Amino acid sequence: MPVQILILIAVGVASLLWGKSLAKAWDKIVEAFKGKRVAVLGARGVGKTHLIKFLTSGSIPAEYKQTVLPEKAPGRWLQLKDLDLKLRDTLDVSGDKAAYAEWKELHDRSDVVFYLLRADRLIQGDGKVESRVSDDLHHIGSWLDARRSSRPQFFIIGTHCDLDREFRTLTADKVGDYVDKFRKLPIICELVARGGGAHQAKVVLGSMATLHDTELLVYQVFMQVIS
Amino acid sequence: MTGKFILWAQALDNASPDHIEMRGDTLSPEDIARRQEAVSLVSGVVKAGSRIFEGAGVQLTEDGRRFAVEVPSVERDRAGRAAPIVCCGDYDSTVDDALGVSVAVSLDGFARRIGRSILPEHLKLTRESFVFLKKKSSTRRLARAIRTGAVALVLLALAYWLATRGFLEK
Repeated sequence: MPVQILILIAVGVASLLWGKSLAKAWDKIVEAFKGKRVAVLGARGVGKTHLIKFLTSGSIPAEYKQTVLPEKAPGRWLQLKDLDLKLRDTLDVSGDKAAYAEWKELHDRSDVVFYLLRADRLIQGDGKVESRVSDDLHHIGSWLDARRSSRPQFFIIGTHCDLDREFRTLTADKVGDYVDKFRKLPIICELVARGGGAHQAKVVLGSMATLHDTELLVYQVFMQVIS
Repeated sequence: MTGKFILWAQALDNASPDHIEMRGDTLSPEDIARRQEAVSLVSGVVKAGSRIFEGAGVQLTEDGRRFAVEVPSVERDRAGRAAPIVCCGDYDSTVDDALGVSVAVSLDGFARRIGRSILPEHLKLTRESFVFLKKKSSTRRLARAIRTGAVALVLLALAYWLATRGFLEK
């Protein structure tokens, strides 16, 4: 058999396997988010409303307002790049500590929890943000522990990275270093540990300054499912 | 008047605790249980209820027993976001125009106490929004009366049928 034919067969088999693994990975994403109920939690001004608006309408808010009165967010099919996922309805709640009972209710009936925090301020060593994240961690950690048998997937989403000069000037090959630096922050280590370890609690960093940035961030979140 | 309601606003610095008053008491940040109770009561209206009015930033939601109205304040928070103020309270089937007036007065007073202000046109719209609550309440009352009437008619018809068949005779 000529060598060219052998090479062609090898390429064909490799493509088939690669295609299969891609399809498998894709199935994993779709399965992971199909008809899922998402809870978006986090302190005030971290971007909860922005993210919920994007997840439930594909757009970002034209005008921003503080969330005092909770807002019902309908479920929808989310189409993003090559993703097509069904998300169920959720509630946009206040970020004040007085709303912890509402957070718990959302957490307890969700399959996926997005915990948002100001990555830019945490990296700068903002004590107030760290203290608030620590309080949130104390609560969320106990809720996660209580659902040991049906633990939701837990995502730590660092927002507002565009406000950090270091992040803005990053080259593509240095993004990983930045993320590693963030992951090594003691409070993030603790968050990841309480969230079930690195396998269960995923860390994603980015910005939601524009629709494109938000798409990238959400896409990153979804891609974490298969990592 | 303020004593009847829960009044709630987020701090403009997005770091200090929210301003919450419940039935006339200002809830301190340490009063965690009552603060959570206030927030849960307000959230409950949204979760169980439906929005019956929305216009110029004023939103009124009701769940059949309670209402929650959100009104924009003039000030914006540190992030440049609109900073609304919420008022929540009970109402019954006899709801009248006085409730809207009372809510607007309470909101205005609360806004002043926390160093904020509400535009007169927003207070007017808040008062007017309660007309929808009044209408909804009368519709609900009418529906209840029709249901009761229908049940009474069915019972009467049944009694008549039983009587004509001789079941009610001794």
